[in-house]
Amino acid sequence: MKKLSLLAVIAAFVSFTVSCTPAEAPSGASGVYTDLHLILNEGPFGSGSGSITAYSEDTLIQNAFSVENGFPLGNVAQHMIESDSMLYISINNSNAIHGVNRNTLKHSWSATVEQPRYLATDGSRVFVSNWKDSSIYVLDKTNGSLVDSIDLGHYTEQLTIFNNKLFAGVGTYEGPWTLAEIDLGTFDVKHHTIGDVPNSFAVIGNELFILCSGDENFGIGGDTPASIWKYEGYSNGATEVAAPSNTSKHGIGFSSDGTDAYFLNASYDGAIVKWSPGQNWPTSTLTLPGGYNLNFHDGNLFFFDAKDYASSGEVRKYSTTGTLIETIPAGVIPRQIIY
Amino acid sequence: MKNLIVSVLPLLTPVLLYSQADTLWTANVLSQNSRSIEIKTKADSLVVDLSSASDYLNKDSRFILKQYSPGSVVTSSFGGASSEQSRVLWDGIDISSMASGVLDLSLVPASMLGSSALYDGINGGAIAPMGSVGALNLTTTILKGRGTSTLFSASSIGDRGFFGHSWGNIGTVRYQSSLRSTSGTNNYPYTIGNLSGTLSGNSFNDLTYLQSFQGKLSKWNWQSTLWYTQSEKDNSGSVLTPNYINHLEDEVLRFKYALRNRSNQWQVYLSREWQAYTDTNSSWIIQDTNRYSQATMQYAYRTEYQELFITANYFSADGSNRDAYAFLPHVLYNLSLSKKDKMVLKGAGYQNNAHFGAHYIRTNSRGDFQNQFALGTYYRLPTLNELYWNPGGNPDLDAERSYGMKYSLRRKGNLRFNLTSDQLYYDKMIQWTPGSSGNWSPQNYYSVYTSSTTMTLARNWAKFNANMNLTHQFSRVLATMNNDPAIVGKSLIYRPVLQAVYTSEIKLPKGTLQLRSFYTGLRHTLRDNSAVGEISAQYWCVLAYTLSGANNRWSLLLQVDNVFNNERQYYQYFPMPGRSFNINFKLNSKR
Repeated sequence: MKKLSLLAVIAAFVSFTVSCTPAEAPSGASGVYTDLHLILNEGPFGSGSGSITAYSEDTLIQNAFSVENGFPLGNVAQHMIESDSMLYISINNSNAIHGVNRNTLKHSWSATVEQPRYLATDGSRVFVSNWKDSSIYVLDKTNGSLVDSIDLGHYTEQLTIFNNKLFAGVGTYEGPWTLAEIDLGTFDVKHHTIGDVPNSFAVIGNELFILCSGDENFGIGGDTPASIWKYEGYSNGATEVAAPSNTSKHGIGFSSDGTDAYFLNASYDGAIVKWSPGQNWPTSTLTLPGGYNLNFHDGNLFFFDAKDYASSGEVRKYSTTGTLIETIPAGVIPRQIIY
Repeated sequence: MKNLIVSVLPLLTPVLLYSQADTLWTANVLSQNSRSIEIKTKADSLVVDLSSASDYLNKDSRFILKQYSPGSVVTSSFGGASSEQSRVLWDGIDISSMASGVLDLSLVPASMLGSSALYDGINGGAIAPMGSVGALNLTTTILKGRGTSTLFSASSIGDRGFFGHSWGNIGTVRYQSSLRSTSGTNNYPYTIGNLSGTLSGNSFNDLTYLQSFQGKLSKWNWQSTLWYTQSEKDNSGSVLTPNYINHLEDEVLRFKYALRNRSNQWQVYLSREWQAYTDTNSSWIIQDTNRYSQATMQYAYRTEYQELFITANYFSADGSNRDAYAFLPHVLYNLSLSKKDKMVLKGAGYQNNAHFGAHYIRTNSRGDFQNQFALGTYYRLPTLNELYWNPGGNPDLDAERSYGMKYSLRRKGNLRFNLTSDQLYYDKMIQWTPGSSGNWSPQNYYSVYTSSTTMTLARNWAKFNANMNLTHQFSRVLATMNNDPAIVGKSLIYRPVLQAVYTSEIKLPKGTLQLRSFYTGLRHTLRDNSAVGEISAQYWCVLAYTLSGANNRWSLLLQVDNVFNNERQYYQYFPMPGRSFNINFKLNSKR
């Protein structure tokens, strides 16, 4: 009886330990999904769940996360990044960050962060911007535990790591907007002047550029135009390098092949335009409109068409000259691809 | 004129007037053969006082309900329609919101549903001034004699209810007052697939006060009714989005005064609604306040073979997202061509356009059987939100146009049978779609075919009654504005192919036992009918035991809801309660 009690205690201890540590460790390049590209779909707003579409030339798996784990991803899948055979996914309305095995899509851990937005990783840390308070949260990559937080003074949006610094777009659809430069060692923050609504980052020729979408009020109030800014260093901050003359022009989804940049020329229903440093604001389009977001991978542009936001969307793969290469059926409101 | 002036006095001091009145009337020429009759069990009779119309109508498979949790805002439709196409009338006056196009039936007392309140399919389109398919005609009938009743209810998931009702006469003026109050915390455990937990943050409370007076003034009968509702509802979002509370406050004051003699009826309807909505489901707290008004005057003229309704409506909707108003003159003419043949012509003037509808119905009876054939064309007017919502409203929106056909077969007698089938083609069906500016905007988007067929079977034995109603729906999008191949050929969303309710009632030596089973088939929530948005078919049942004593001076209802703890959802990831227990206790005065 004594032995039995001891075993029970050990079993309980083991079970407790397991529940506090990753249930699934990264398993290297040996899973069903290792060679599949992964599309993150927001899912319907309010009711319903986000999803992941996994595909390759001859495979298409819709709702792959739910298929593998038996539970839904959560409401409004916002952002997904890959690092060390793991995926980190922020789920906006569900207040969750999931750590997921890249190769098997098996859920490893979840952390609670209210209204999370974008993610970035560095070393053993995951940085999470959010729309609930003015902090960027720092999580442990292995189990999602909260390690630290960095106060930015306002809600934060897109994140990127550049030259061993964390850069954050500060401000949402309401200002004041700044570009925050954060020292990854000390978490010291310096705010630089930036355009209205910093939306996305692109590295072109080893230099960091920022696309600001401009303030958009959908007919209720006045708009401000989009703009492209170049980061000039810690002391000089960022300077505007291109902007349209018309305040109704906006842009999102900054992506780069390393030499040129591409983005959508409207916040919703945009067409792809090409821009190179030194050029004025682009006016000619490479594709038809209809884009909700844009990514660049492996020499091609991935154009996310959310259609009517209440049906399955699709991802269109274009060459950098605007030739349609492939159309991939996705889930509801596709917004990002991990290649 | 003198009579008219004097007749206004009852508005202020109804108890001073003394006379007897008849029941008010609406569109009887049409309705003689076109309304369907309700089957009411003993348990239904007990819950009708306290139930909302939406909860009560669940027993009818033609009624399609969508709600987040018990007591939450309800959108509904009848017999294959969308929520905006089905209208709610009050003694023939359309009271559905002209701003949103719908009326929250969770705030309508089931006691306002007469036994033939539901007009299904195109018969509803014929009678409803602004809608095209399905209508619910509410009424406030003062009970005979005098009396009082009081009802208390409580449930194991935190619902509480009170209903007080008194009626009688003061001199020759008939009166009726009722006060209904329900509240609930909606704290209950749930399971959806592999997800489980406890739902919270969906509390609600509401209060309804109804006051009617009825009397006679010279050769005119009059009735005045005041209807006040106040409600507060929280919605914590789906179980995937916990901890956000959206709070809705709503207050509506409605007043109707009717005056009629043998051939003429005047009705005045006035309403004012205040609504405040706070949404915390984002980084910004969205606060939205709205005020809606309606003023309607209706004159009706009736002879044995024809009826004419001339209605003048004024609507306004002002608040956070639009400031709009509309005048809507409306004419409805019912004509009995022969004993078998009837027709309805209706027309409305709205936004500088005229809209016309026509309905023909032929009824043949032989022995216990009656069959009916109807056809017509109908319109659904765009709402003020659809026209003027800022941003996105589309002032160029046209009315929906539909063409329909209906066949009904009915058998009276001990074994009652009713089969009714509606086939409709819609053109210019309105749908909000995303525009290039990022704003959603309503468009005359769809051409759609729908079919809705309901079969009802009812049989009474000495100690056992059973009835079943089964509704089959079929819909196909025939075309969209941009002929989107992902949507063309698909079903409209939130419409189960099959919906069924089976009720059996057995009289025990003491009391009555009732088992009611519900089945709702698979529903699509995404327009392309993608499997990701499917809500599985669901089945659940309710067991009820009723007991009365002291010559019906008291009645008791014990109820087990969702006996087998089945999973239920009207919206994805919004679980309805599992097994719960409910008790109702009613006291009646001596009559």
